[in-house]
Amino acid sequence: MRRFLIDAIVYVRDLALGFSRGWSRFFFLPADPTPLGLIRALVGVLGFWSLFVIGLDLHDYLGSQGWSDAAGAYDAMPPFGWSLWFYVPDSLLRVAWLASLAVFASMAVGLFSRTTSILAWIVIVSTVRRIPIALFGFDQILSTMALYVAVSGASGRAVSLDRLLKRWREARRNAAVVRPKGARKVSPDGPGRPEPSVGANIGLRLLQLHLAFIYGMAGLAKLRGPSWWTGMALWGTMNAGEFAWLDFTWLAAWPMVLNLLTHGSLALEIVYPILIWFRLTRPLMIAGAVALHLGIAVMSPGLAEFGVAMIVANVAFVSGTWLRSLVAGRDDEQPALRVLYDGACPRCRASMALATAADPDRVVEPIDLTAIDVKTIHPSLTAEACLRSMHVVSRSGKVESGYDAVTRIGSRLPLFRPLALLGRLPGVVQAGRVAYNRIASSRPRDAVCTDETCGIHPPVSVTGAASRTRDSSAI
Amino acid sequence: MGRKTEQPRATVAPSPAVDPVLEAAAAAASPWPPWARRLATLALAVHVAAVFGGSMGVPPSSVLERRFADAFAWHHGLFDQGYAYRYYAEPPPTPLIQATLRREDGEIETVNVPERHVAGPPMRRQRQLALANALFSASLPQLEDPDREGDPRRTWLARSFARHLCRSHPGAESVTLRLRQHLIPSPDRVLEESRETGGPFDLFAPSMFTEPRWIGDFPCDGS
Repeated sequence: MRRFLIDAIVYVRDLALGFSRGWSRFFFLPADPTPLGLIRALVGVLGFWSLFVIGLDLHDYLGSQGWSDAAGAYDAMPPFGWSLWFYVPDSLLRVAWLASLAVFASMAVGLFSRTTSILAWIVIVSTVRRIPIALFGFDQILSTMALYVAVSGASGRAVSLDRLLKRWREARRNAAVVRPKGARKVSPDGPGRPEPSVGANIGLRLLQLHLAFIYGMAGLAKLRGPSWWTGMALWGTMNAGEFAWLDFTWLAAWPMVLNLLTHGSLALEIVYPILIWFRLTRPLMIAGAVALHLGIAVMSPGLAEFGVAMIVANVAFVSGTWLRSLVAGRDDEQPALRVLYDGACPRCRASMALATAADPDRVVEPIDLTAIDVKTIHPSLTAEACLRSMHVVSRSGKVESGYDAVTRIGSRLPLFRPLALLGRLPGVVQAGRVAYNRIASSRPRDAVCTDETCGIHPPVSVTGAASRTRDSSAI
Repeated sequence: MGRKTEQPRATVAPSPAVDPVLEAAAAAASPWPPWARRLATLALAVHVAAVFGGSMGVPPSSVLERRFADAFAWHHGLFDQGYAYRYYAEPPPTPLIQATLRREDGEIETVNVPERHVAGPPMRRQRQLALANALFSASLPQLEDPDREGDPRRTWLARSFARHLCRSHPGAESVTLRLRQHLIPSPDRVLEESRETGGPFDLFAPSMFTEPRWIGDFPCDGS
């Protein structure tokens, strides 16, 4: 008996210690903020869109005399409920709405991320409390994601203008410093991949737990519905006239298809809370969830935003490294581009500082051609040609120069990819090359550059770069 | 939770399967001091319990579940996280509002919320469907039992809807609110009617709607 009691106590102690260690490991290790940054951006877009649509009938919903009059809605709020919309007079409603849209826009692009994330959550909850009669599942998911993004305080550490601007400032500061042998460093202090943080971990973990809980509850609730057992539940959702926009009545002749879709959806919701935590089954669960929500969006366009919000929430389970590799390539594929730039040209340094600041990992490797023998980079390169225009050497050995090199760099950096695509359109390419050559040939340099060495016009201003440690023109 | 297979490792071949937290967790120890972890643990535990309680306290639920949920009413009110997430447990017919507005000149105008076609993005109509659903949920007890005393929430909501309709339709003298439901046809019915007509089934045929049920008459006098 004594042995039994001792063993029981030891077991309980080990259980408590194991749980404590597991809890700490689960919540308090630093995590890659990339998924959280992406979620922040998408929550910003969804919040903006939702409020924009409400704004089409602004006074009907948020006005004091709207569908739910302010006094009645205030009284109907749950205990401790709150909403800033109750304090906005009708005359200022449009202004407050525009300000709220600006908050969501800032959140989406990641400007003042920490502040705008909190403000966005306040706007979302305020709207939920003001018009609880006009909500659907989408609003619940949006509110949950916004809360965790705000609580983490780390969503601006990735996929944000905040980070880009910080890194750009760092890179420009570095670019102004002359290093030994005259070479310049034109990149920020830290690496392109964002630094892991505990705040990001807490935000992601809460979102993961909440999402698993939502699927689990949705699945368990469906077990009460007979149509989920008979395999015909999706018939009801696909043929509810108020929701459907495509004719799915032909499926009446294909009950087995309906059975398969119904049982598949239910099975996914029930097993998701378990299998999402295992590495091997996680992609399967995420793929299933994406398929389910895309299916809902196709069946019912009114619920498209709900589907998108659920897919966005699933990003919490996706590897940050993998997400980054989608745009930056794998580790062994980097640097994808080696860029030979004129380190004696302030404008070139500033451009490279921007490119490296926007680098999601280490896609671009800037090389100051004034400090090396360019032939060591690629045998076909000459110093004269490199000084005439920027050159880019791909991993495959392909060399591009001038405007084509600029668009090549842009195409590898997510932020500039749209511009690079535009820049490669017929007509734009020709104009771009002319503009680039004109700018490159008239660029100012720190050092004397004669026609004999550079093949370009004499510089506008000549200063002794070697004698200076800082170049204010680069800042 | 799959810990053994999720050890941090070199990321030469990134995979979507890797847990975003564990892949970055090369350090075994948290950079947070113990007091911060304890404080955060307390907050996290309360939050997790509140979310759990919120979903359990919604009917049908036990007394224990309701009491547990009630303990976190403050949290649900402050943070808006007390939802049940019981989506589509049984796909129901869709409620719709039918408002009959009588003008001073005797003319009668019927407004449906939502109308079949609402200009703008689909989400705009979805919000209107939510309005109808809210009024239906508030009116359900009385619709099921007409002798039942008026629910204050129903009275408030219906009156608010009516007032809004009066204001948005100048010249209206009174408004009568009714609710009807858009039914979901059974597959057998669809097959049968398709065989008979030889054409596609019309989900908006009059027979697909229930008879409008009276919610209330409201004068447009601002009361």
